[in-house]
Amino acid sequence: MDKNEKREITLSLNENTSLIENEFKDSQDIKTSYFTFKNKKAAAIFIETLINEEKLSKIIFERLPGVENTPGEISEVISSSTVTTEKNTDKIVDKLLNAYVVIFSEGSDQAICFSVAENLSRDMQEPGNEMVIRGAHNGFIEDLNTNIHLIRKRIANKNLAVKYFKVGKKTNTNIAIVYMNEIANPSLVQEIEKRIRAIESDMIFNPGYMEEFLEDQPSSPFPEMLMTERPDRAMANILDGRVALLTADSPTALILPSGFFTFYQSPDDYNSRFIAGSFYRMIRMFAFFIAIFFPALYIATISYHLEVIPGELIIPIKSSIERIPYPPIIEALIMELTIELIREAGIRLPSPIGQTIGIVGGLVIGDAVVQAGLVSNITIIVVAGTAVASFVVPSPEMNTAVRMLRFPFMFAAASFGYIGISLCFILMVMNLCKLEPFGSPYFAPLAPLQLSGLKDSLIRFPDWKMSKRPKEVHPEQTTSQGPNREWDKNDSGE
Amino acid sequence: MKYSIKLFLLCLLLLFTAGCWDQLRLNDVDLIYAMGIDKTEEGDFKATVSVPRSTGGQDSGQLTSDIFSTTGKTIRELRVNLDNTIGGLLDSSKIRVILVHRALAEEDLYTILDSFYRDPRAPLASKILITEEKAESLFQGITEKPELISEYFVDLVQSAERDAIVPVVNLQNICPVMLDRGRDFHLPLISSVSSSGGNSLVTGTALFTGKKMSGQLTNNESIIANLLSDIVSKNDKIIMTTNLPDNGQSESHGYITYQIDEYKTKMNIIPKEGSYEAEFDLHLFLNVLEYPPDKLSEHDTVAKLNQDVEDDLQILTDNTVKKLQESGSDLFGIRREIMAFHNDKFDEEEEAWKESYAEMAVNVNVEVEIIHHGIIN
Repeated sequence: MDKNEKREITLSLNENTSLIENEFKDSQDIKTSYFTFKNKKAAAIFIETLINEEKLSKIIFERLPGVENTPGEISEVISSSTVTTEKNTDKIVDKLLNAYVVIFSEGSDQAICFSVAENLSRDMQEPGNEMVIRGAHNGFIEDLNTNIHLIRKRIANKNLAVKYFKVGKKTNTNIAIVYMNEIANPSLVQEIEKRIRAIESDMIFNPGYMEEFLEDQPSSPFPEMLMTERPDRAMANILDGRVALLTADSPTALILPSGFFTFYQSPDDYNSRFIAGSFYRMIRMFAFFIAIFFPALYIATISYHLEVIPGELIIPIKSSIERIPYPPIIEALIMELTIELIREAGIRLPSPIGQTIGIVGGLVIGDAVVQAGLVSNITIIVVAGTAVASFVVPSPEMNTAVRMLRFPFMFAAASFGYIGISLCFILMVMNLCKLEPFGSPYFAPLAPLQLSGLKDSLIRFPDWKMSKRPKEVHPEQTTSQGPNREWDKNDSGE
Repeated sequence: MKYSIKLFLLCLLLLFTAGCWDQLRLNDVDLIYAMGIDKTEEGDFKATVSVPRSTGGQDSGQLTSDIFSTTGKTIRELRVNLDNTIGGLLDSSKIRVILVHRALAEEDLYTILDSFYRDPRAPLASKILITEEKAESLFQGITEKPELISEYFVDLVQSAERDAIVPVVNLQNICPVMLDRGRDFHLPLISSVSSSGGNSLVTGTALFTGKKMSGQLTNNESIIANLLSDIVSKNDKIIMTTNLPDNGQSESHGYITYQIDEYKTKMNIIPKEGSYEAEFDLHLFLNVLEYPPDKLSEHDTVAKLNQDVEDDLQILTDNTVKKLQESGSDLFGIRREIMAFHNDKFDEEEEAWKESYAEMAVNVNVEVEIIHHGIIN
């Protein structure tokens, strides 16, 4: 009955202030400061923990005495570009929660709102999990506006679209999707918007949360969205027709849709000469196979197919594993779990202790375990090689995926030998081919095969040769550059 | 949906119940590296195997070879008996070398190798050697014990292969030739240096006719046979010495040593009334390695040397061909040629072929040309 009336503010100042204060019943950080302006009582309401009081007094309180005798309303005094007026209580509460100051004045049923947000965020630093040798050394930080600023600064184009959403029923987290109009496929953007609106969760904890709410195949071992803290990586992907999803208070941008090979591209590739870039691409792909297959191949060879070991090598291997009491699978599992333990302990501990753990774990345990005859030398080599290979991937998400994947391979190898490995590999490739996050094939350009796409996957062609955007994301504009280096052709022609 | 998950789990579990059945773990097996097969006086087979063992744990890789012997009626039975003798599971997939005593090879080589050919894990790349003495005595006789007995024999054969004395053959690629009527093969023949055993050396090759050993060639004869069969690789180093006729007169002590750098060989089968005739052209290009009188830049000297070496090699070649014909071993594949190009005259009868091969006129025309003489002039 009265509900609708209550939602609108009234002409009475006291009524209005108590109305708002009642909305925040138990919060003691909601403050009301009264003042008079041209003999009219007024009150400024704000949440003191969200706003910058110094700024607030600069914007309004310090200016009040000087403008007492000039004509005009309060809103004209406020030196802020964010001034709006609101009548609806819900909207006002919303504004307050977003670090706005709301001014009520006696005899006015319009509340003046303006933003005095306190910006407490750290400096831009290079993201520690995506280091590059050369290239930009700044990274996203825990502030949405700064992050969008970093992207906008890199793409000075009116077609760069930024759309805000609020997700999390209780947290009201701001998120933004950033994409290029006329490049990103509209149906892709629509699909993403649809899925974002469908989120009914109370909170959005971090980007991983977003990923789980948006992704197509939650049970696949492979990550379907690239997480990056690098603005340059985000920019390049946006220009490929992908959409970047930024979450407030998180330095991580989600790139969607991402393909398998997106995870293997590092900004470093494009800084080095294309031959070196291609070489390191291939090294990374090779590392992918080592990380998945090496322990499994070792187990299968030792347990089932010893005849494939060359004659010269079999005696040293045999003498190494001769006195090991466990079957190879147990042996390998012991070492793999040790490495995972060391890794996990190293991450959680503060960095000086973390390094100590690495040394103690790696050297001492590794050596002692061989001395004690629990694990063979060869297993140590295999597991260490695998561990190194698994950390080569330039994306921590793919890295975990690869590390998880090798366990099923190891079990299959221990049960069925090489046949088990092949079966597991078939299943893995099936999954890679089947994945289609947001309608873009995950394993492209290998499946479906696109020759032009291969220029930037297994190897990296020179930049001026890559004039097609990746087809799998269905970009509106398929070419990314015109003919380059025309002068070169003219020179050599004559 | 639920039903299909259950079905999937059942299938998975079914698979896992069968898992590991064919497991053969490396730490459970005892690898045989070398195997020697002899015949006992009772007519049984006797096998001698070398099993490498490492002593001293993971770090110090001390290797020793243990030698075991057993007897059996068949080769497979031998393996079972051996398996009972040796602690671990016997694994023959890593055999590098199989020594077969000459007496057994003369009876039938295929009988001995049959069990290997039937085994999917057979050591197909292993070398087959024919021994003059009992294989067991060669095993025991190695005085300077190398880490692996097998390595000793393999090195022996491989150096002979590089000198083009023995053909590069192994268990796998003699099988089709053994069963082929159109061609025969030869295998390295080794014997110990002294009668009391001791170190072995390659003394030539054993000639086979079909599955049976039927004769033997010396090292030099074997080289000529290999050259005529055109199976010598470019990288092989064939070094020969010729005794010159003007012995003692010159400072060379009457000898010249040369390396055969290149060669050309051509076989031509001429069908005649009721029989065949084979013509060979063997053109050898020599690099003189040792000839103290020198003057090799003079045309006359070279021409004379060419003639002398040619005469010497002609005699050697004629001897080789005669030996081959006597043993009935068709190394050059003359019969294959007849089957292919003169099929109307091809004689199915094995006996008739043997007779006609023995009586066949085989003419080898050796031509020799000195093309290099080292780095001095």
